[in-house]
Amino acid sequence: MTEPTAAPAAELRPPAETRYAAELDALARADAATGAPIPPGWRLSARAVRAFVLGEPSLGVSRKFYGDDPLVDRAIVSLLGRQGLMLVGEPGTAKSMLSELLAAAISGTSNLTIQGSAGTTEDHVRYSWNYALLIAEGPTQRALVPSPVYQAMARGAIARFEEITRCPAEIQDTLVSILSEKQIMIPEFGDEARLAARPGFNVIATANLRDRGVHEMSSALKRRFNFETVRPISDRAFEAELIGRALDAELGPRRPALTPPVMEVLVTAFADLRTGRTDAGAPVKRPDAVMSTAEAVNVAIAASMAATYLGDGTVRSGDIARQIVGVAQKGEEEDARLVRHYVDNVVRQRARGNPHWREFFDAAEGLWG
Amino acid sequence: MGLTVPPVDPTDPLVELVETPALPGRLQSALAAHARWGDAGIHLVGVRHHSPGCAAALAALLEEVRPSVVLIEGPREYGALLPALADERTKPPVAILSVGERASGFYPLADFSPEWVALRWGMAGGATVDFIDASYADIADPGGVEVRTLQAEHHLARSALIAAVGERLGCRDHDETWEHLFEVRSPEALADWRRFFADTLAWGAMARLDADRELLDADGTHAREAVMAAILDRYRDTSGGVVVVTGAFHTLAMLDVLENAPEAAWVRAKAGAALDPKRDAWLIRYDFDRLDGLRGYGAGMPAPGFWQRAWQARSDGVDPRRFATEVVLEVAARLRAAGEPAGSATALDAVGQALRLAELRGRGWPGRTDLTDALLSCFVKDDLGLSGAIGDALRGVFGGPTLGQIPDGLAAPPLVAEARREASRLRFVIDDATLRQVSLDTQRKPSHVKRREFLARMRFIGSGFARQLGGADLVQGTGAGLLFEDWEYAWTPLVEAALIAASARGATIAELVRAGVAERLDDEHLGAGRVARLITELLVMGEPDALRPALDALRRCYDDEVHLGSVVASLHALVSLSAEQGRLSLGARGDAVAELIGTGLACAAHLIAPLSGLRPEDQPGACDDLIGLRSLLLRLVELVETLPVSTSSTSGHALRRELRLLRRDPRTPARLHGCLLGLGFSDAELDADELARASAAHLAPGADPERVADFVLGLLQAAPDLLLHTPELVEALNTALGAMEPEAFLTVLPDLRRAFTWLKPTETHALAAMLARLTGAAVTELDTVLEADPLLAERAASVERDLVASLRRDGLTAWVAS
Repeated sequence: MTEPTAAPAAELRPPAETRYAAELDALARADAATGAPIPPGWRLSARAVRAFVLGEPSLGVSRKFYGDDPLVDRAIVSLLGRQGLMLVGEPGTAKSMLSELLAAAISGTSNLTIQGSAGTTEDHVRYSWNYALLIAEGPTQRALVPSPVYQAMARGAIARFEEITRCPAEIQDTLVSILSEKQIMIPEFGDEARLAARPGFNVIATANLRDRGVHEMSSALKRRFNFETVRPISDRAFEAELIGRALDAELGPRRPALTPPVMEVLVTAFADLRTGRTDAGAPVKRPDAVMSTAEAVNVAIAASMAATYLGDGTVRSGDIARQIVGVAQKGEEEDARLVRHYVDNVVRQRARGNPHWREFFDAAEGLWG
Repeated sequence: MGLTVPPVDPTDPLVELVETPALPGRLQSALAAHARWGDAGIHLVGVRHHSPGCAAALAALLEEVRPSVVLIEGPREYGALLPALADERTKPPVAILSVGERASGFYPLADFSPEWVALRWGMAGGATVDFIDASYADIADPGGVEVRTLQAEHHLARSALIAAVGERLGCRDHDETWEHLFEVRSPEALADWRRFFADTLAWGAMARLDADRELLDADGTHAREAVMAAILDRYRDTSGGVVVVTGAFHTLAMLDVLENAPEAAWVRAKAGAALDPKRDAWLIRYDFDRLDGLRGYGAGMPAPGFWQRAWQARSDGVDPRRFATEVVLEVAARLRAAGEPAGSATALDAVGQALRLAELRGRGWPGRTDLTDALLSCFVKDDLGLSGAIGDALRGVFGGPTLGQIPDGLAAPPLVAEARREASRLRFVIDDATLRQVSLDTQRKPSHVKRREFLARMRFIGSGFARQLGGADLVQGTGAGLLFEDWEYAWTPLVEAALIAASARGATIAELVRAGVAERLDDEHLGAGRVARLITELLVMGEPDALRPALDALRRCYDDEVHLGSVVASLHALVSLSAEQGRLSLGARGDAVAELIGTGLACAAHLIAPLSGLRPEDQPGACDDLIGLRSLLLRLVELVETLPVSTSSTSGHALRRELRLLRRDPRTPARLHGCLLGLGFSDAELDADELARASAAHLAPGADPERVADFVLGLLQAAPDLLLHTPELVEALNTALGAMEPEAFLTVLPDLRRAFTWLKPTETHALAAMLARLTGAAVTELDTVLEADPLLAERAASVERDLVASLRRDGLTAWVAS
C-alpha cells in the first residue's frame, strides 16, 4: 500500500487535510494566538473547526458547506460529547464531504474510514490478523492488523464509517460496545487485554435511511448516535450551476446545448418532486425514487445523449420529461402514478403559459396513452 | 485580531459589529446623545416587545433611576385601563383589545414584557404612567382586515443590515440574531442597562437607517412618532427623571426630535395631530399560543412559553444548567406521556449538548435555538426533524393555552353591540327572546340574501341565534329547486353570553368567522368533502374574503386525500358553487374555484388506478363514487363556458384516461368492471359489440357464479336500462345463468335479485318479454293476474298487524322497516 499523503500530486482526489493544509495551518496559528481552548485530543478549537467548514474570510479560509450553519454547530458539539455523530439524508447531499471535513479539522486525518458494504465484516470494524505473522510469532502486536476504528481509538482521532446502513445490522452493532465503553477487548493478548480509546476518539457515520436495500439500524446503535439530517440543496440556481459543471465534466465542452429555460425545467421538476412542494408552495406528491442532484445529472446526461443521437443536437424539455418519467419508473408502479399526478396537476397548469413546460407536458402525456 | 467573528462575544457592543461604511458616524453621535440625555434624566429605552432580556435590563434601570414619569408606547386611550392593569387580580398573559372599523388590534402583555414591567413598577412606585402612542382610531390601517398586533416589528425583520449581521453570525433568522445578541446575555450583563440599551438603540437604528422614509410616512410611523414626541414634550421638564419605553425602531427618531436634528423633519412635519383618546379599549385574557411569533403573531419573540421559563429562572437566580435541565426534562416528560421513549441518559445528553452549543456560539445563557438544536440532536433518531411527538411536546412547552386572569366587572367587549346593531338593521326582532320564523326569497331579493347571510354568520360563530329549518339549503345541498329558505331565530340571554365568551377569539363577527374557519381547517381529520362544505358555508354567509385559507386547505386536501368519495363530493360542491351564481357571489374567487376544480379532477384521476385492488366490501361504495364522477363529468361539460377551457378539458381528459385504463385493467374487480362498462356504454365510449366482448369474460360458460352476480350488480347500478337496449348482452347473461349449477345459482340469487331492483317495473316487464322470446316461452303467459280469496287476504293482513305490533312491543321496530 502506498502512503496516501506521499505523492499528493499524483492522486485523483487528495484528502481534505491535504487539499486544505494551508487553511488548517492558519486556523491552528489563530488558535495559538488567541489561546482558544482546544478540546482534549483535537487539533483545533471547536470554533476553528466551525470556521474551517463554514469559512472565515479574515484568515483566508473558504466556505465548504452551504445552507445549514446550525447543523454544523450541532455536529461539532455532538463530537465533543460521548455520542457518535450520524449524518443521514438522501444520496448526493454532501454527507460524506461534511464527515471528511470534520475529521480533517478535528483529527488532522480523514483517512480512518470504513466503507460500509454488504461484505463488511466484524474484522473491518475491530481488528484482524496477519496470519503469516500470527503463525510465526503468535498473537503479537505486530501480527495484529488494526481496523480504522482501532487506529482512531489508539490515536484519539475521528473514525469515519461511510454508508453504515449498507452493512448487515449485526456488523453495525459491533460499534455499540465500542461507543459505549470506548474500548476494544483483545482476548488473544491474554486476560483483560484491551485497547482503550484516547481522548479525541469518536465516530462519524453516514447513512441513508430511505434507499432500498439498506439495513435497519438497531435502536441500541441509534441511541449511541446523535442524528443530523443533511438536506438537499434548496437553492435552485446553485443546483443548476452544479448540474452544468457535472455535464461539462462528463460530456466535455462540446456537449449539446442545454438552454437556461430547459435547465430550469429540469431543476424545478426535480426540486418539486424531491421536496413535495412547488416554488409557489403548492403541494406535490413525492415519489419514493431518489430525486437527488446526482440523479438530475444523470437525467441531463441521458437527455443530452438523446439530443445528440436521436434529436437535433439541442436538449429540449421533452427529452427531460421522457427521462424523468424513466427515473420514476425505476421504482415501483406507485411512483409512476405519482409522477403522472404531478404532470396532470402541476405541469398542466404551467404548460398554459410556458412553451417549455408545454413541451414537457406533451412529451409526458404521450408516454401513457 | 484573532478568531473572534463568528461568533462574537455578545457582551461586545453591537456597534463594533456593524462598523461598515453603510453606517455613518450618525450612529456614534446618536449613542453619545443617548447617554447625554440619560444623564440629563430622560432615558429613551428601546425595547423589543416581549423580550425578557429587555424586561430584565429595564427593571434594573427603573430600580436605579427611580423616575417620576414612565411613558409607554401604546395607544393613548389605554391610560383609562391603568387601574385594571395595576389591579392585583390581573395576571398576564392578558391583552388590551382595540376595535377599529374593519380591523381590531391586540396589545398583549406577558410577565416578561418590558411594557408590563414598566407599568407595574410605575403604578406601584407612585410614578406617573402614561401611554404615548397615537389613538387606535388614527393608527388602524384602513386596508387591513385581519386581527393584528399593535406591536408589529416588521421593519426589524425586514432590515437588510440586520440580516447581514445575522448571516455573519451564522444565525438562521432575525429572531435568532436578536436572541444571540441580547437574550442570551448573563444576568450580570443584563443588569448593565446602560450598555444594553445603547445596543438596542444601535440595533433599532440599523433597521431605521435601512427603512424607506416614504414608506414610514405612508404607513403612519412618522405620524405616531409625532404624537409620542408631543407627549414626551409635556413631561420632559418634570423633575425626578422620565423613562420612555418604545420599540427600539422608534428610539433613534425620538432622539432626533429631542436633539432637534435635521433628520427629525419628517416627524415634525406630522406635528399637530390630536392627542386625546378617541376610542374605547377592553382588557381581555390572552394565552401564549396566540402570543407565539412563530404562529403568525407579528410582534415579539417566538416561543413565549420558553421565555416565560427563562424569565422565571433568572428572577429566581437559577443557573443555566438547571434551567436547561428543567426545559429538557419537561419536554421528555411530555414525550413519555405521549408514549414515546425518552430516557434520562438522552435527556442528560441534551442538556450537555445545549450548554456546549451555547458555549460554541459564545452565549452566556442557553437560548431557544440552543435548546431546540440540542433536542433535535439527541431526541430525533431519523431524518424527520422536530415533527411528530417531539414537535408536539416542544410546542406544548414553548407555547401553551394557559389564559391570563382579569378581575370581574370590567366592561363587556363590543361584539355584543355589533351583533345587536346588525340584527336591528336587518329588521330582525331582538327586543324579546321569542322564537320567530322567516322565509327568505334569496333567489330574487338581494335584501333577503343579506338577511340570510347574517343568520348564517351568527349560526357559524356558534351564537345559537339562528338555524335553518328547511327550504333551499345550499350547505346541505337539499332543496335546490326551491325559491325560499326557511329560518328561525331568537335573541336569548344565552346568545349574549355566547358572544361575550367568543370575544376572546375575535372582536368582531368577521374576525370570529375567520377564527372559526382557521379552527375548522386545523382539524387533522379534515377531508376534501368537509372543506368544500365549509367553502359553501362561507359563501352562504357572504364572506368571499375569508375563502382564501379554505381554498388553500382544499388544495392541500387534494394532495393527501385517499377517499375518492370525498373528492367527488367536494367537486360536486364546487361545481354547484359555480352554477349557483344567482344566490351566491363568488366574487373574485371564481378563477381560484375553477383552478381548484382542475386540481380536484387531477386528484380524482390519481385515485382511480388503486381501485383495481379494492376489497369486496368497499366495492359498492366505489361504484357509487364512479357514478358520481361520471355525473360530475357531465355537469362539467355543461359548465364549460364559465370555466377556463384548459382546466376542464385537459384534466377531464386525464380522468377519462384513468377510467379507460381501469376498465381495461384485467385486475379490476367484476363489480367495478360492470359499472365501468355500463358507464362507458351510456356515454357512447363503447359500442354494443365491444360491450358484448368485454362482458364475455364474466359471462362465459363455466364462469365463477359470484363473478357473474357482481358483474351484473355493477352493470345495472351504472346503467339499469342497458340490458333492454343490448339483446346480445341479455343473451349472454341468459346463457351464463342457464349454465350454472343449481346450488351455485341459489348462492348468488339474492345478489341477482338485488341487481334487478335497479330496473323500473316497466323495464322489468320489457326485460321479461325479451327473455321469454329467448327461451321460447309465450309472452302473454308472463302477465299472470293473481286472484286471492278476500277473506284469506284479510286474515293475512291481520296476522301481519299482530306481528308488527309484537315486534314493536319487543323494541324491534328496526326490523319492521326492513
